[in-house]
Amino acid sequence: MTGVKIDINSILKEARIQINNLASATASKYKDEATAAGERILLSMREDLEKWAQLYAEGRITTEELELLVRSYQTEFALAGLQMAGLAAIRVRELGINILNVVIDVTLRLVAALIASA
Amino acid sequence: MRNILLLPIFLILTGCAGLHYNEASQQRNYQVRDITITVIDKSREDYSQNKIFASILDSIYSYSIKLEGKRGKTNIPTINMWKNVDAWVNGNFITVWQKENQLSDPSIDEMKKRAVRLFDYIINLENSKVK
Repeated sequence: MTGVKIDINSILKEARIQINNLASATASKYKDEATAAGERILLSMREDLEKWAQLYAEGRITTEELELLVRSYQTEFALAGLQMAGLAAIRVRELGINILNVVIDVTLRLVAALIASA
Repeated sequence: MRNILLLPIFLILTGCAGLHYNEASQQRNYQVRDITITVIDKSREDYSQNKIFASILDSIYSYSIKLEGKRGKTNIPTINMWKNVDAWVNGNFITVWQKENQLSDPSIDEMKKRAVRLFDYIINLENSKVK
């Protein structure tokens, strides 16, 4: 490959465009998923609260038991947040791998084009 | 631009055990979930006759959290999930059982469902990890 000059700036410019597209698509998906997860929990919580309120009104569960059940939703919201954080960490790693692949791919294509034109 | 390129390389080259699926951890997730449900079911009976189960459950959670901790900093979401469930089970649930001595059938049925739901988060996150 003597005499072939690799244009680093072109590689970086094209890679930057592709990486920005990749990151934007990933971030948008996170936000949608988090919103959907929150809505699912709220729907479930409403159904349970209605059921538990009825049980409490009928004297079938105590105040302490009702409070314990309601607290489980406090825990669930925390877990949902942690799930998002966990998934984000996994996807950051995947995003990192995808970014590397973009860089390698762009570099190889540009080098191939340079060799072909040499 | 160099920083953008260095970050993913760094993430990949450093240890990421907590991002990788672990079969032993997942088995433990299911087992502790099932043990939790069994102990919740026990709360129909007098706490005083069953406090050994509360003690065992607490130890099981402590040990599970310790093992998850060994998977490194990338496992922090899972570790914190365990700590949250531990607070509800060994903090709230056991405290209420101890105070009331016996819990009602309807509340036990609801608590078991809630426990399964909470463990779903831990199990699903583990399933989402890189295999």
